[in-house]
Amino acid sequence: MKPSTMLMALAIAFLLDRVASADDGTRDAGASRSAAVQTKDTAKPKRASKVDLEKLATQLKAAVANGKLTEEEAVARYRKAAAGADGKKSTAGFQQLAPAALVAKLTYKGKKGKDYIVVFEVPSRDGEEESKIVFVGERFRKQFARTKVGVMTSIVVGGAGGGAMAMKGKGAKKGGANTFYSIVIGRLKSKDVELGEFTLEVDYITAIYGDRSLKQTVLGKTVKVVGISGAWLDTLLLIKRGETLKFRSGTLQGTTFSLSPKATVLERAVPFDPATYPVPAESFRGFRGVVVGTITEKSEQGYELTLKINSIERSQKSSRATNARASVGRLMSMRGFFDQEFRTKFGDLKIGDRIRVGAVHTDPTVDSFTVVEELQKLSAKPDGAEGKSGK
Amino acid sequence: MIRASGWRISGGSGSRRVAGLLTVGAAVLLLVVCLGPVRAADTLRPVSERFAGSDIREVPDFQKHVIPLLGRLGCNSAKCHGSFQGKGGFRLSLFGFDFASDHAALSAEATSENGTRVNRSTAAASLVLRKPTLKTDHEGGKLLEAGSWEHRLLLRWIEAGARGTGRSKALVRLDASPREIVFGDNQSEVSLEVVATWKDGTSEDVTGLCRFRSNDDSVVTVDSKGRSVVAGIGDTHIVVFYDNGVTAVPIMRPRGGRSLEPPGGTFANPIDGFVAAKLAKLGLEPSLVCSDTEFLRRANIDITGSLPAPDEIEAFLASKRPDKRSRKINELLDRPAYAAWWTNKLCDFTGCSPTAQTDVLEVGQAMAIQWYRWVHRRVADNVGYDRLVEGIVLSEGRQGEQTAGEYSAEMSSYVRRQSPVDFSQRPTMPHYWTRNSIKEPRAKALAFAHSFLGIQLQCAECHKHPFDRWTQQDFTEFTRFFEGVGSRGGRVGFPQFAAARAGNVIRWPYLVARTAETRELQLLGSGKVRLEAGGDPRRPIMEWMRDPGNPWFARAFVNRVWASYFHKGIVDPPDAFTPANPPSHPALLKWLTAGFIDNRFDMKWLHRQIAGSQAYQRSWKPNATNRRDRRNFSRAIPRRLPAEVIYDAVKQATASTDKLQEVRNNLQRRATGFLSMRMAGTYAMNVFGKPSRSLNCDCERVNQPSLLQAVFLHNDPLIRMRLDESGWIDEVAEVSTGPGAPATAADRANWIRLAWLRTVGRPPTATEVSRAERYLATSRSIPDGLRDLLWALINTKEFVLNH
Repeated sequence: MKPSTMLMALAIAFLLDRVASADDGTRDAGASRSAAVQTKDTAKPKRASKVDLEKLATQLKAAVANGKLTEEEAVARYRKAAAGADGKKSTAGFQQLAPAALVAKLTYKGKKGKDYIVVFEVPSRDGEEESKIVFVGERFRKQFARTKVGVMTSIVVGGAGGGAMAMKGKGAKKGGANTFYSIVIGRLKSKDVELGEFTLEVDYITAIYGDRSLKQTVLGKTVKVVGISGAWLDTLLLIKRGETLKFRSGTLQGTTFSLSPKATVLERAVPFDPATYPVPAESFRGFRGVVVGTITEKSEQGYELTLKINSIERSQKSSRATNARASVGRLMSMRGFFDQEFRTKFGDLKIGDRIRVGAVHTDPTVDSFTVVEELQKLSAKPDGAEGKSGK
Repeated sequence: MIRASGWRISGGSGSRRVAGLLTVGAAVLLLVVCLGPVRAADTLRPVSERFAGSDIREVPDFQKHVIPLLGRLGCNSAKCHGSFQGKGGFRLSLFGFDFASDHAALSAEATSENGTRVNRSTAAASLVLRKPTLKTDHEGGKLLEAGSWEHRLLLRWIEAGARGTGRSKALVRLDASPREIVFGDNQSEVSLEVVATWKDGTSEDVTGLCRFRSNDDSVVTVDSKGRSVVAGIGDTHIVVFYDNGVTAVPIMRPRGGRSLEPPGGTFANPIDGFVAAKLAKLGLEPSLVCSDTEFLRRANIDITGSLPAPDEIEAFLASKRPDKRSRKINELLDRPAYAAWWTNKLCDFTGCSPTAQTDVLEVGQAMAIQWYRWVHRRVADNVGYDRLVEGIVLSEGRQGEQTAGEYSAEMSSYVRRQSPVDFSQRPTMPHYWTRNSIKEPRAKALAFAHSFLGIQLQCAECHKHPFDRWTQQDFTEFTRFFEGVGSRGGRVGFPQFAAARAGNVIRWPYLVARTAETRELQLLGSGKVRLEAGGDPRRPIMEWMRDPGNPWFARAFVNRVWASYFHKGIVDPPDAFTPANPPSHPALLKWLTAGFIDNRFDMKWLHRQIAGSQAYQRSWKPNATNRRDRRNFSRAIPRRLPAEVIYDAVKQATASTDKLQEVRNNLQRRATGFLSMRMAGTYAMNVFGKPSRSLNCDCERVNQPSLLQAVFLHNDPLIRMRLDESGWIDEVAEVSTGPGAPATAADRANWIRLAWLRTVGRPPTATEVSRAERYLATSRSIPDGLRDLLWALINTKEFVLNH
């Protein structure tokens, strides 16, 4: 996008924000809607009246900058011109845009004069000029507070409700569904194999990708899981009420999960017990090194293993575990076997196998370890290499 | 060429509408057997006579004689030089459709050994003569006798310069004689004569140059000279191939060696007249009319995909009305289950599948359910089939002046969890075209031909269709109609979809159907169509299909519906409309199709005609004459219940009395209803052959029985769950073990009767009642005994078959 075009877009947004605020109290909504419209129009400079308005906006902006006009005068002139162009009054001079979703890069957020603005750049396609969308108004400060400049973000503009909604790639969505990939373990309370739904009481959540703070909102509660279909219904059919199961979630909305469409997991699991489940001890968190263990559980779909730790073979210097050896005999959860490097070997592993595996626990808030560097199936009997301890 | 409404079809002698053209176009080769006489006075004698002597002046024609002869000898078949790799370095076009390349190949130097394939200076030294006469090694063996007319024909062609064909000649008719063969008592063989008529008006006896094939060797065999020898009782066709023409001759061998007297009088339902005439020809007596309980169960299953409820059976048996069967058919057609079941069938052959849409299953599920609902609404409203198909074929993404934003808002509104908008209200249904599985125009052409025309074009994708008239050129041109049809705007991923479910607006891909540039295309041999730049290329196809003269559109649907009722199409397989696979009852198919069109493609009219016929209402029990008949509708053919029907039937059989109606009507929870999409891929559906709808083939739905099905009904967790949680057994338990008086003998008899009515749709016989009572008496409790009884009944052939 040319700088002049951007300035123009900003100007239009600025002007229209004032128009909207003058008309009613829906200042932000009007502003964002208008901004989106104007951006659309700038991308299609074929319509004569819009082109004229664009030129006028540029001229007015320049006039304000040069001190030839006050902002109020500029607004008044623009409103008059807009009304003339479309035969309607100023705010109605811009077409009502139906809600539309866009993926755009946040390029600026901050004060512009008296107003708070957030600028998004829509990537160009097929050689078209890039276009910008500008949200003007204080409420966007809060809305985009977590969105960093330079991040591609899904935004929704327009609509009768006005305003803008934004959804970051992995982040939460206000009032909507959160992409929340995790392994949820709990006891089945009820199921409906025809509607593909069940409820369970959540005992434990691990392997979270997404907003980890949401974990606390559902832990210990009865939640609903929807979206089970196809062969997964067969699995659900076999799990009885009261039994423990685990599944990989895809979204979380309130207390309703949906099943993840990727690396789907839905299977019976052993009842949750913190002592016997692969919840790492505090002294084991932050571990980096090599462990030897026996596979007690394997999730084919999730590319995950649960190991009973036989020995800590090696601890790296960078390991932050304070006493890894204390975890010998306990369970640890490992993931990341879908990487090409490990996938084939993972396929050959079965419950009861002893393996030597490189493990790293990068995020202390996560309970599972990630496989790195090494994965080797060992003979059934312990070899001499075992027994070495880490720090 | 005249232009109107954006497109026109031009024919040979001028412009005309599609129907007019079809009479000289596509249909001509199908109808030739009905035209006679076969051999006119000016017809050239057969080549076998003209080339029998040594002094021959006539020069054989490359297209008319040489290539057909090579075809008859098998030289251009797939296992010989017609294979893609050729044989011995010599490659001919498969079945001889490419005259230029074949001529070039014949004229080229041989690579496998010294010499030329065609030696114009010393014709006899040509490898094309030496090889098949085994004068030199030939992997294909001896195909020609030196001095035979075949040998002389090829020799003469080479001697005369071995000329090719400039512009290919157009074959307009292929007539076989006799037009129909009914083998009598003392007759065991008949020789066919075939005459080809070309566009220039010349005709020739081409019997010796044709390929012949029997569609059923157990009825008749045919040799390379067209000599047909009867092999057994029944009926079939001998198919004749020459140049681009295919024709079929009906063959019948009546039971006992003679036909019966044609049925006299008139038939209330014309279907029965057509069927009876054919049965008489074959010397077959139809089975008796089926019992009321058989009819009721059969009609319920075929029309609504459901078992009849016990009270419905009792009421039907009690009714003395003479028209109770036709009234029942009408009643069934008004039930929600009718719309559900037939929507399911329409979804089968249009390819509605969650996995076909996208690799994001949740998105695919939603789109497939939208598809189902859209079709369902129209079937329930009995919208004409042509209008229903139009809504699919001419579907649009962004409708009218809709902006991308408005379109995204609209599409998002259909999937949001709270108060979604009903997708079925949308005027058109674009998901047919936006399937991932048919992204390429080629795939669209194949799917379209299968879905709406009942024809398979796969073969013509690579070579001339062996059993049809389609050439690669036909296929290529048809494909080009779909070049401008496709999805734009990326894809919807899981996070975006989740946002839409939560009520937000996301960007949706949309369907576009626009011709890039003005062009003229051949529409499946039915003449040329002019597509204007910017126009919708699908519109002329839709108008062509809707035309009463279209040879496939209405017939394909009529035949599919018929096949669904009889387990056998009039054309069978139902999606194989080719001249080589003619209808068993052509007049019947013609009458039904004409009636369907005259009744504005009214689907319920079609169902009423078929289900109301005596042919449909016959018993499955064979008589002495028709035990082996499986294609002339002389009796009902028992067939296994479809996957969805079995699932629903088990559920219905075990449901509590007050839930019976809900079980039958709640489409959210019926495998034939909306549940159909969610259940796709479950073990129950897989084991009973529910199609994944990923192939362009009606054969994808498997109706064959298997051991796994038996095991499933024996002890699958689903069956156990249904029996363990049976509402009906709970009801019985309440009465039999409740605080009131213990169950009486009348109670037990009633429960036994209900068990039979719930499963096999008839009251038990006295013997069955007696056995059941004995079993109940020895059971731990009456509920346990009845549960066992239900299990046993569900595991009978009578339950699992539609008979």
